[in-house]
Amino acid sequence: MQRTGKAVRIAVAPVLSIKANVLTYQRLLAYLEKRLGRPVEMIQRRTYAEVNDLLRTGSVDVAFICGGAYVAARMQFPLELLAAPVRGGKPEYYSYLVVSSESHATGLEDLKGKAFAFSDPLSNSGRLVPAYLLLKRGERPETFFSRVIYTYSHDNSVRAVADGLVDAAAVDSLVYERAVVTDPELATRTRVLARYGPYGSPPVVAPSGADPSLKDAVRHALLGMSSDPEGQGILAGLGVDGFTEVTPALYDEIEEMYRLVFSLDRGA
Amino acid sequence: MGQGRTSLSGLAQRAWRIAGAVSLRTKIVGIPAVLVVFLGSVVALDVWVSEGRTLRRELDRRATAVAASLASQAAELVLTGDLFGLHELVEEVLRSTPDARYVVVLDPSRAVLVHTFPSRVPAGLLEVNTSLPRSEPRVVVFYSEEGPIHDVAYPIFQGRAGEVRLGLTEAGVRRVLSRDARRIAGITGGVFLLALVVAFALATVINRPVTQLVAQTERVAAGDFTARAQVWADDEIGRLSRAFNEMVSSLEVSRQDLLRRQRELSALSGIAVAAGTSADLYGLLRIAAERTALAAGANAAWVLLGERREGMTLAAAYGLPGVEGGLPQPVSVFCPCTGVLEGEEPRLLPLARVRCGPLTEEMLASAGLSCHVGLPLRSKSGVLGLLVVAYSDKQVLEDFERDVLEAVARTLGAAVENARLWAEVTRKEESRRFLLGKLVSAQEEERKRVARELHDEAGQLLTTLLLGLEGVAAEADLGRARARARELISVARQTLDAVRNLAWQLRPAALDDLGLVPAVRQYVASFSQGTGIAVDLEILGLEEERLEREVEIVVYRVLQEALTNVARHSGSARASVLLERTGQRLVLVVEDDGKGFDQEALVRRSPPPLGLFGMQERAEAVGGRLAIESAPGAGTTVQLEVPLPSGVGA
Repeated sequence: MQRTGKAVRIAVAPVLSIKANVLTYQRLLAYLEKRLGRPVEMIQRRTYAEVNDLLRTGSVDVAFICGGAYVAARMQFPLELLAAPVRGGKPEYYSYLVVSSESHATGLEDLKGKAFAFSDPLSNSGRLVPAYLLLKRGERPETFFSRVIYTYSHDNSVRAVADGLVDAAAVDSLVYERAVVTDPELATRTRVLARYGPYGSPPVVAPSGADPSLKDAVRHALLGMSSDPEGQGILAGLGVDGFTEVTPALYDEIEEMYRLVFSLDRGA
Repeated sequence: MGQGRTSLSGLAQRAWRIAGAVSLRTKIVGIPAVLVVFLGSVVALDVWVSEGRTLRRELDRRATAVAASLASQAAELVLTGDLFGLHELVEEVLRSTPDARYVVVLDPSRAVLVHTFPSRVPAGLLEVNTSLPRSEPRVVVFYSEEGPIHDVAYPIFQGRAGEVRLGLTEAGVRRVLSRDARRIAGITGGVFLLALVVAFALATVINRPVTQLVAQTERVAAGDFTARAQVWADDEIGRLSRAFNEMVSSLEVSRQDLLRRQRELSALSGIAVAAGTSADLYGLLRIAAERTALAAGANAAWVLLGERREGMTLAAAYGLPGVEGGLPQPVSVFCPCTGVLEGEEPRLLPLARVRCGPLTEEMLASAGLSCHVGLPLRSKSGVLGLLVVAYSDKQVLEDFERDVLEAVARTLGAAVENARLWAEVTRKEESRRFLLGKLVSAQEEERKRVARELHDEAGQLLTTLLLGLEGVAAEADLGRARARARELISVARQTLDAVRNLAWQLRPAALDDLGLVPAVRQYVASFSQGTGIAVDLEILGLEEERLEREVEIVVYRVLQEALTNVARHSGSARASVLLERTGQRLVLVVEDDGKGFDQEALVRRSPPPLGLFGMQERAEAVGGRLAIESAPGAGTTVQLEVPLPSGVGA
C-alpha cells in the first residue's frame, strides 16, 4: 500500500483527555493509514467546539466526535456521518451518573447541593443528558449543584470523582467501562449511580465538502475492521465490537435535548 | 553541696580505679579508640546541626521556587475556572515535588479552590500562613504531628487570583542527615578499627619490654637476684630497665649487708642469753668482750668496772696482747671515751696519741688499733663501768652499730649489777648461817656464865650464909649470936643483890616494866658504876613513852653491845650516848675516843665478828640501819637509825 501523498487529517474530539486520546487512537489511526495508503495526521483540540470549528472550516478530513457535538454541528453546517461504533449489536451507548463509591446517593435527586463535573459543554453523555434531566424536573444544574466544573474529557471526570474533587459526574459509558478495565482502582473508588440512554454512538464524521473517495475509503476501512483480525484487535482495545453505518435520525433525540439545554443556556 | 562534691570525687575515684585497673595494653588501645569515637560523635553532631540548618534553608528556597512555578501555572486555570485543570496541576506538583506534603489553592477571598488532602483541609492550616496582604511570598515553619512543615504561601497573579500554599516536610532533610550520619558512623567505624589495629600493634611493641620487666621483677621478688632486664631501646622503658638492673644490684648488696647485720644481732643476742644465765661475772665479761669484738667487726674490746675514771678495774679484755692473764687489775682511765660516764653520746675517737686505760704503746702497735668507742655500763642505781670497743680501721660508727653496742652495754650493765647483788646475797647468807650457829653457842655460853655466877657468887654467899648460920646456931651467947646474925643478914642481902643482878642482866625488868628511856638511864648508870667509864648520856625528843616492843629491845641491846665493846676494846675512859627521836626516826649514837680499829680488815675478817653482825642483824630486823665508823686511833662511832611506825608510842 502507498502511504505517500497528502496526509489525511483526522481530528479526535477530547472524549478522552488529550494524552489518553493519543494512546487510545494511535493504533486505529495507524490502521487507517495502512488501509488508506496515505499518511494520517492526528489533530486534537481542547474542546468539542474547537473540533467542530475545524470541521466547519474544512480544516480536517475526518473527525471522531460526540453525538452532542454532532447535533451542534449539523445545525450550523452540513456534514456527513461516516460510521459509528457498535456495542452489543447496536450503535448505542449510555450516559453514566458516576459517584464516589462511598456516596450514599441513590439517584440524581440526592446530588442536590453537591459538586458536579461536566466533561464538555457539547458532550451528550457528559452534559446534555444530566442537564436535560434536571431541566425536565425544573432544576438548573448551576443552582441544583453547589458547584459545576468542566473537565473537558470523560476520563478526567471519572478521576475528578475518584479524587474527591467533585461528588458526581456524568460520563460516557464506553469510556467508563474501558477506564475501570485499564485502571481497576477506579472501579473501587467510584460506582455508577444511574444509567441513562441508550443514545446514538459518538459518530465518525466528515465535512460535506471533503473528498468523496476518501470518505468512502474511510467508511470502508472502518466497516471492514470487524472482519479483519488486526481490526478486531484494535476494536477490542477500544472496547467496541465494530463500526456500522448510521443515519442522522439516530441523533434526533440528542438534538432535542440539545435544543432544550441550549435554549435555556441562551436564555440564562 | 558538700555531698555533691563528695559523690563527684567519689565518682572520679571510681573512674580512676577502673581506668587504673585495666592493663597498659588496654589503655594504649583504648585511648585512640575512645578519641576516634569521640571525634566521630562531635563531627556527626556538628554536621547534623550545621548541615541541617543549610538543608532547611535550601528546603525553604526549593519550596518557594516550586510554589512560584505552581502559582504561575495556576493563574490561568484559576482565572478560567478550570478546577479540574487546577486539581490535575496540584496533584502533579504534589507527586513530582519531593517531600511535598500538601498543596492548596485559594481564591482571592481565601476560599479553598483545590487541595490535595484526602477529604478536607485540616482546621487551622489556612490561618498559619498567607501571602495576601502584601502579596509577597512568605515561608512559615510550623510543627505538625508529622514533624516540622515548611509552609510557603505564594500569591497568584500578584494576589489577584488568590494564592497557592505548599507544605514540605523535613523528611528529605532527615534522609540526607541520617545518610550523612551513617556515612560518618561508617568512616568512624573504619578509622576506629584501623586505630584498634595500629594501637594494638603499638601496644604490643610497648608492652613487650614492660612485660619482660614485670617478669624479672617477679623473679627478684621470689629471691632471685641474678634477674636482669634486657634493655631494648634507649627510651623511657630502656632507662627504666637500666634503673631496674642497678636497683637489683644494690638490692643484692644491701641484702648481703642485712644478712651480716643479722649475724651480728644473733651473736649479740647470744651475749644477752649468756648474761642472763651466767653466774661467773668475769667469765661472762670475757665472753662478752670477745663476741662484741667479733660481731662489731672490731679488733679489740675490753670491760672496765667502776664509777669514776680513777680506780677502775679492768675486768675482761679481748684482743689486747699480754693483758688477759692478770685480770682483774686496777687501772685509771683518762681518756675522752669515759665522757659517756658523765652522759656524753658514744662516739668514735682516735687512739693515736691517747692513753686509754690498759693500753700501752706496744699493744697499740701490735694490735694495730686506730680508734675506739666507749659505752657506759649502766644499772638502775647508776653507772657501773665502761665497755670499750677498738678498731684498726673504722671511719664512721653507723647508728645501727652504735645501737647494737649500746644494747650490749645495757645487757652487760644488768649482768654486772646482777653479779654484784648475787655476791652480796651470798655473803649475807653465809654470815646469817654463821650467826645462827653462834647464837646457839652463845646461849650455851650464857647458861655456863649463869651457872658459874650462881656457883661462884650466890653459891659462895649461900655457903658463907650457911656456915654463919651454923655458927649462930652453935653460939650460946645471945649477944654474939645477934651480932653474928646481923652479919649474916648483910650476907643474905648481898646474895639477893647478886641474884637480882644476874636476873636483870638476862632480862632487864626495867625495860619490860618502865620502857626504853628509864631502862637506858638505869643501864648507863649501872655500866658506869660497874666499869668506871664515864658515860655522857643525852636523850632528846623522847619522854617516858613506850615504843614498839621490838624497837625498844633492839635499841637497848645495841646500846648494851656498843658499850660492852667500849669497855672491852676501846680502852677509853669516856663514852657518849645520844638517843634522839626526830619525827618518825629514832637515832642512837654511841661514841668513844678510844683506839679504834681498821674497818676494812674487820669487814673482811672471816668469820665476821659476832657482835657487829649481831647489831646489824638486829637493826635490819626492824627495818633500821647500823653504821660503824672507825679508824685506828680515831675512836669508834656506832650509829643506829630505826624508823618508827607513825602513831606508835602515843
